[in-house]
Amino acid sequence: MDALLQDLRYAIRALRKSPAFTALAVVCLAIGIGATTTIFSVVNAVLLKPFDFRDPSALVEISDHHAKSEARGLSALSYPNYLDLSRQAGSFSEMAANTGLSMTLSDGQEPERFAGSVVSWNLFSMLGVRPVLGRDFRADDDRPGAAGTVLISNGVWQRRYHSDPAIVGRAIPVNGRLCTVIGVMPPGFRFPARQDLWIPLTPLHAADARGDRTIGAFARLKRGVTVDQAAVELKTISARLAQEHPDDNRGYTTILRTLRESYNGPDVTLVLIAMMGAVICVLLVACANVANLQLARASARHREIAIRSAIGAGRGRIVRQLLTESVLIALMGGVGGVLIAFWGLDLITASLPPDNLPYLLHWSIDGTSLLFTLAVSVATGLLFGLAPALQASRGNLQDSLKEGARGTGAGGRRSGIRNALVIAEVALSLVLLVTAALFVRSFFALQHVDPGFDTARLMTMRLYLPGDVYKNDRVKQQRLADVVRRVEALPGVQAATASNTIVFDGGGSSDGIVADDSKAAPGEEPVLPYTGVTSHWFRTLGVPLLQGRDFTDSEASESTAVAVVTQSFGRKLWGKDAQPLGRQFRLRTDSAHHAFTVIGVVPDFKLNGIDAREPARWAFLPYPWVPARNNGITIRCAGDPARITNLARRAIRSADPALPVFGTLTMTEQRRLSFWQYGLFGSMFAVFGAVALLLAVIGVYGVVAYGVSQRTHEIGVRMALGARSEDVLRMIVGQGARLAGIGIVIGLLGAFGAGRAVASLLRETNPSDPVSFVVIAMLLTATAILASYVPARRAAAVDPMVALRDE
Amino acid sequence: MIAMTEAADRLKGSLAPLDGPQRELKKPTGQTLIKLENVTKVFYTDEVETHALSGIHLEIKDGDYLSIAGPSGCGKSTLLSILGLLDSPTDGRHWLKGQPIETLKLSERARIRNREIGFIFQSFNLIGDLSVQENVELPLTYRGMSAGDRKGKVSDALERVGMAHRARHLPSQLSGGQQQRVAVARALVGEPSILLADEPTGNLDSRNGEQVMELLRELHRAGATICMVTHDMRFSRHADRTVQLFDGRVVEDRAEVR
Repeated sequence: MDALLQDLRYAIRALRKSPAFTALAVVCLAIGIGATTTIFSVVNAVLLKPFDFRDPSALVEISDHHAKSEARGLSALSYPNYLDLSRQAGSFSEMAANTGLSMTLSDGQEPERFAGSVVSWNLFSMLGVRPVLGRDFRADDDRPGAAGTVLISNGVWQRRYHSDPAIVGRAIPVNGRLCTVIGVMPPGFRFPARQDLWIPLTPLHAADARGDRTIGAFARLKRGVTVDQAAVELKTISARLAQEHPDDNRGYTTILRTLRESYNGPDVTLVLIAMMGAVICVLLVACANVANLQLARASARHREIAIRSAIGAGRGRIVRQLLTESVLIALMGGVGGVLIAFWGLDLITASLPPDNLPYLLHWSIDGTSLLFTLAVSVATGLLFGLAPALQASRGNLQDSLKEGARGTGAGGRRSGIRNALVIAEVALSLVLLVTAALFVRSFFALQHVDPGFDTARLMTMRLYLPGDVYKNDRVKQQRLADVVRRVEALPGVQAATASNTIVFDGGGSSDGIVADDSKAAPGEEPVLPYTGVTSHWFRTLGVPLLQGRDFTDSEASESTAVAVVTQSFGRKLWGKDAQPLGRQFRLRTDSAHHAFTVIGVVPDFKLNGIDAREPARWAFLPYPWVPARNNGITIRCAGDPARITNLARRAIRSADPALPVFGTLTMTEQRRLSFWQYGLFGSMFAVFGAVALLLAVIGVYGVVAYGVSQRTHEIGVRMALGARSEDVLRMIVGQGARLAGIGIVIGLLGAFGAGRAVASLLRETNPSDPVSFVVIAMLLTATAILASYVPARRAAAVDPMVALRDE
Repeated sequence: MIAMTEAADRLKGSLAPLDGPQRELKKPTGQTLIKLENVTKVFYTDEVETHALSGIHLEIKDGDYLSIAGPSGCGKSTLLSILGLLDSPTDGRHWLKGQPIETLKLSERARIRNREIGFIFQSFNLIGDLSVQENVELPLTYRGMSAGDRKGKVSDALERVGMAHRARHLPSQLSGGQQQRVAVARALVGEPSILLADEPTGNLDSRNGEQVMELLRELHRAGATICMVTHDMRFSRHADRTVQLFDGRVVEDRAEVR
């Protein structure tokens, strides 16, 4: 302990003696450790940190999967299937259900729409979360005919009800129905995504048909039961249900995922792994840089180290002393890194669209992050300190003690390590920069992707039809037609339309589509999306009709069995060369077997999002076939669409003041929001790449400059032998360029691998995009030459007289 | 190991004539090669002026073997660096082969250094990372000579100093005497007009020193012009002429009597 304190004292003294070196090393490491801590904090929040529930590892999400489904392979359960599963499955101690529902509070204040959830009474107790005020749902709240009850989030309680404890027991209108507030949930709790209100499930869904797939289920595994065992049981039960209810369940398999998997798709995990890889690269580059600085410093200190050896310090003691200095520097870098990480996390949060992440994913610099930083700092100190420490302690004692002696052998080894470190820095920088370039190219390519319609001058907004008054589908359809009519009558509006679906924003339904010539067994038909639209939908969007015609006003307002389909929808149903016009199809779950006649075909426009890889295989039906409470209004304006917002809001309120309007965005903003993540990935990789490049430039400069300082005498000899300034310049720049060249070749191989690894995250960009590879390689070469040029100029100015001076 | 190979080299050196019978002797023309007229060199450090050379008149003819002698600090090395175009006089005139030197640009001085002057340094100044062959090749590389032409000249030069069998070794694998012989090969490989030797025996023991002096003597016999700086009177007597410097001035310029 005493020796350690002594080492620490010496280390502090040694670092204070070289403030420039210490500052540069600390800054380099702070950048590397800061970037690593920032991304680790995100990774920790998203992938590692246990959710704040009771025994969260036992929680799973249960979904149905249809082999022919287009909608990412997963679908909700129907209420009857959920009940059967919860009764029959023995793998779970509990099963609970929920489904999202927009909820409007109209309690005398301005009506306000909230994201809500309809939940089975046992959901929160299964999660192990209790209200902080009032009580949880009870079984008798969750039965048909029960009096209305509601749980509210802490945020709503504070903001809307000013934290009034008397709110518990008060009846408030939720979607027009009076519900008694029975409790307030804990601060921050907004399960499952960003919900604010929760009402019981059974009163709303008890009458659901087996084909209505609207329920999401969560369950808790019994102690000792594994996910795989539970999955096998669910598969068996779903096969039995498919036999018992073939019309509704054939083709479906029930699957389960851990809660973690359900929150993080494979893309999220891949992005975070890629980001973590990127920051580790930055950290390694920083380590390489500091190791290089240490090596240069060790050369300058070889005499001091030789004296320590001469007076009896063993090699281990000297290595320990030097490592203490390295770890001390790294710890100082770690402190700086934590400060950078605070800023970095704020930056990432600010870069995300608001309300885009589930509330469970909340990142901060917590104890785990700090422990990680401490571990990384110590490991970093050992990593960059070990090689220089071993080198420094290996010097020839006799040579070192002679004034001015030059250890040519050790110098050669040291320069070998320095060169290798710079090569590694350049290679890692290139990998990061090429990956950044691929993401940036994806982002720019997506900006220029033709969505198939004119996104300019379009405004979108959502409105919700709340309350018992809109239970009736006819009333919904009439209200919506009224709203569209009022909006279309506004000055500056060219056309308006309504649908549950807003382009790029989502919506719609999906079902098994039975073609008129379908030979598929029931349940084996393709599951494709469809949506209901009011008239003028295609005209408002500016989507041209390739064949046939648009809906007439009377078709769009009545339940006429006609449809407009995209080209790919037609191809999927009737084959590549078939003519869909005039053909018919049915929705598998439509018990009345209505046959929809295709009256028009539109091109495959980018309805699912600008970054969608698959063509949009959609069918559009007259609105009355798919009425919804949550509707999107799309408005084409003559001028700036933002100017229509207030007028449109007023027009909607004039139709019914209780209608909440939300999600007001121009189509250009919707478009941008559909691929913002590529810009974020690109800019984050670009920042990491730029930092690595800067560090690599410093590394190249440092190595070349140090080489020049060590070779002054040799350069003098060369000049005495007739080398001209340009010969020396070429030699020194060549040295830097050679190191960069080797690093670039290795980096190109690494970047090729990195491109393959992130290929699934790229859009409209080849992972081996030659432009990105060539431009970045050229940029790095030019930068390395520039970094070498400065010390090369100094070398070219060496006075050849030094050749005559005594060494 | 080095001691044994060194002994073998010495034996070889003593058996093989440095300038073999196949080599034709270069006939000295006796024309003036270098001329210094009233050359002074003053160094300025802070507020102190140091007169390293004052009023130097010197003429070196083709075929001369000249020794510049004098005590430490008398200006020998300064004079040699001016003769070698490594430094410029503060005042005075300087000609090489009749061409005035003072007005030349740095790149022209480098070119003349490369073609007309061969340096032999006290501490050999071989480049540690380069092999013997590459070290000797260096002046020819800067001359832009093709690899094929260089190869022949390098092996020829190494043979003249008896080091051809060590061509692939690194300087660190050679003894001091061997390193200085390689340095001599490097100085003469470009067939310069004059060899400038700065204390060529200063870092060698007396036996190796004698061998190097014998080597220079042989080269002179073969027609080389040599100007050597030494403070060792034993070695200055190897030259035909000795210029004695004291406090930056030539105090004696005499022919050696054999």
